[in-house]
Amino acid sequence: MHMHKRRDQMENHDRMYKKGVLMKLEQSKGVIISNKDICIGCRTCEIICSLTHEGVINPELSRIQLIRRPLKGSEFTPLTCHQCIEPLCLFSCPVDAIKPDTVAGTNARIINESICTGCKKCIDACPFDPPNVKFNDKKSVAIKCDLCGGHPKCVEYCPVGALTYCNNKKGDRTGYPVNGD
Amino acid sequence: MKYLYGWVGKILRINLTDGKISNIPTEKYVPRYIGGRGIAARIYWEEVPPECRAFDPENKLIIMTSPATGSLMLGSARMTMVGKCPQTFPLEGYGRSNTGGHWGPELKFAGYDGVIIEGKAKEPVYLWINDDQIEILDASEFIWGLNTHEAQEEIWRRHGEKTKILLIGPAGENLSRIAVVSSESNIAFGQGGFGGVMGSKNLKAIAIRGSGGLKVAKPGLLAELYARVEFLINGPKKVQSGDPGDKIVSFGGWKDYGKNTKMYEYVTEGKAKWWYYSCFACNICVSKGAASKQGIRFLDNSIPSVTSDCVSFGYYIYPEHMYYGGKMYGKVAVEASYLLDTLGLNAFEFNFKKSIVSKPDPRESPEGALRMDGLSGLNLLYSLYKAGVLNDKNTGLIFSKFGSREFIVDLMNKIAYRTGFGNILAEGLPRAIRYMIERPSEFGLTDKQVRALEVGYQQGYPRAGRFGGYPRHHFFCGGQGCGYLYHPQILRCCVDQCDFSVLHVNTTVLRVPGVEYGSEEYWKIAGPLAKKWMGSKTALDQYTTEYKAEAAYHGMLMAMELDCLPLCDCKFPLWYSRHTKDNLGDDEIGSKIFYAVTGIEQTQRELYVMLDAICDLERAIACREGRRREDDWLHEHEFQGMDHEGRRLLKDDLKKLLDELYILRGWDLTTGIPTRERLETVDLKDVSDELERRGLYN
Repeated sequence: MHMHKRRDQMENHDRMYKKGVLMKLEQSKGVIISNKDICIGCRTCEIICSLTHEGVINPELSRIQLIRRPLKGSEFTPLTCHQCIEPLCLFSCPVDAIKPDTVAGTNARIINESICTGCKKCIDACPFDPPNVKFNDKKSVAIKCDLCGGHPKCVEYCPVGALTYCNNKKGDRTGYPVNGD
Repeated sequence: MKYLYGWVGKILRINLTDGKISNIPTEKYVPRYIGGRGIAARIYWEEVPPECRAFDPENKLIIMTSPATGSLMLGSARMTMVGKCPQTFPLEGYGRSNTGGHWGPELKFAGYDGVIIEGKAKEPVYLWINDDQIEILDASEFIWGLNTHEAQEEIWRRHGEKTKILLIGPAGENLSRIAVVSSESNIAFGQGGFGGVMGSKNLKAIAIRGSGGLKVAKPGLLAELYARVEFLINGPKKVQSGDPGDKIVSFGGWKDYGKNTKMYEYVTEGKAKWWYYSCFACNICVSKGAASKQGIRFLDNSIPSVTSDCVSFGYYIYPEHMYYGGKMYGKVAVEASYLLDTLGLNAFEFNFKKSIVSKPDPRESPEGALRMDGLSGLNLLYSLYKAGVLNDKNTGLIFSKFGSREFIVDLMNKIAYRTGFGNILAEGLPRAIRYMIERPSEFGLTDKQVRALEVGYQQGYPRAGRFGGYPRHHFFCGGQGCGYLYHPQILRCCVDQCDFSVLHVNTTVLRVPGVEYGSEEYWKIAGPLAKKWMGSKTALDQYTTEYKAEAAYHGMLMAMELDCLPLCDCKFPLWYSRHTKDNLGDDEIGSKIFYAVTGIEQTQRELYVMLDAICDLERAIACREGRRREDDWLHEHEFQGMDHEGRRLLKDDLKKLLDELYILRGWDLTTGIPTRERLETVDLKDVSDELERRGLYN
């Protein structure tokens, strides 16, 4: 569902990891977990995310991504950013536009749109498929989940409670386990 | 484009004859015609000539979303389809259907408020709409002939998984008058037979992908309204989407199942899983208080999974139980639902209600041969079989195995592919019955059996006149156990062009869940609500004709509101809430949502004035196509039954009520045509001029 990239693409990851160890990056204080068994595929999470961040309802601009497969056993899987402990998106950014959110205090890995040049290196670096970093081609900047400063809207609005905001500190090299992986 | 909130600005026009693709600005029709059914009616009035037949290339499929479609609101995912309906009987007539799902919002994201399909392609085609890129592509070597699931899978392989698709199955391809246009699983434009219209245009599917967005005028207010509606419907807690417990399809009077079903066993044994489906931005069908869009997934994939909605899921549950015995609701019922969905047929034409069989009608029919409470579909077919009118020999169907897997597989395929007796049933039951009545020797029918067929048809399809052909739905009168409760429904049925009740019951019948009609508790709760909603609590009094025309009028406006804003009839109008102190929902929620989405401030009263004009426009369309007062009537059957205290629906009462309704609506008492004065009052002078030109005022 939310796949890791191939082994050869992980070389970049190892190089970035060494850089990360040196940077001593602060861990995100939380991550959004989804439960696909109770997701009903209504897309309210995508609606409220894009509305909150972009002022328009457009699932293409939502940070959370809902994979809908309505036939053959019907699966609805919300995909959320892992807020990686060693975030490759952050390491790959040539202009340091991605930083932990120390202002809101969540340490979510957030993109400063006024600094972002739209080079898309962060999107390529994200080890997940589809990447958790997306491109807003109307503004030519990268976008990603910022945990809404600690009160994620998608979690609040999900009508069935398929999303939870988890302050669990477990994690591995590629961040918190989310979406059951 | 002046109106940029809610509406996205363009209506797409695609001509399949010459391949021409163009668009019209939505602002030509808004805010006046609001959206959905309103805009579609105006376009139909302007563009579809009355003499046009349903399967002619001149017929149009007008698919229209609404300003709130794709926004943050429960019940807002709806859209309307309008055109000349093949199902209407005996004359084809202007009609509409409505559905939800995810296609409508995607159309908005692609940049269009609606689509007009006209003409006819030479070979089977499908449409691919990808933002500005619009193509008419060959379907003959690709998806023509496939069932609806197979075809969608193919389109996803070619255009990507995020593609939203409206399509027809084999039933539509073979021009069945009861074929649907559907999306995903069992999300369908059900009534009208539009699947056959699409098939007649050689159009298999409309596949879309949109990367744009939708702006709303007051996002903060809309979010508040969303929370308010969520509370009114679901209360303060999150909705439960896991184990449905005691509620498995709350439709059809099957209150005695739930945990006591085969299906529940499969789940507890780990052989199957429940899941829920929701339309865009909504969760109403998942919550405890509404019809359930529920699905079953068999983990061994022995039967392909389906989602459900009311009838499409439930229609074969009782027949299966009748045949196989044991616990209700097994695999055959699921497979029957899958068949219906993949072949693209209208579930409501195959309805089978348990109460009909287990609780025999205390009245004898006039013929003494049939015991029917007058439902359509499988109930009617089964009853005709039990009465000896239809049998294995004269239909080629295996009636002797009614309720079996074999029977339903045979029946559905024969109808979808128009083979054998299925070719006659594909015309819909009213036409099928007429076909048999006109050929008694061919079917070995006695005079008495011919009469029984006629009675059966009348009982199942209550509206008389030339524009009937739609099944009985939440509507009883006379001696059918609930007296005159549904009087406003009776009037709605009389004047509608299709199935008035598909806008379900909340627009006219105010039921308090779990409370018996007529009890002291009922009046305590419902009385004040009826006064607020419809102007008088007498609207609910089932034993008087007083205030029924007013209630029907109000119901027409509320129904039009739901089809124009849009809001889903599964729960709207929100006249009742179990979560508020006085049980009042919100009788002004429509105008509030309209304002939050479009930025246009209207009181609820002002919104009703706009909707009122659209009701008159629809009536003018119907009259232009030949409808008159004599078509606003019910079959003989409706006046014959008596309730337990000897009360009947009297013809004089119905005449009087129609007079009252006509006066309220400004329709001529003799002809039923909206008067010049009325049309000019609602600012439709161009419409009355046209009716004048056509001689309707002579």
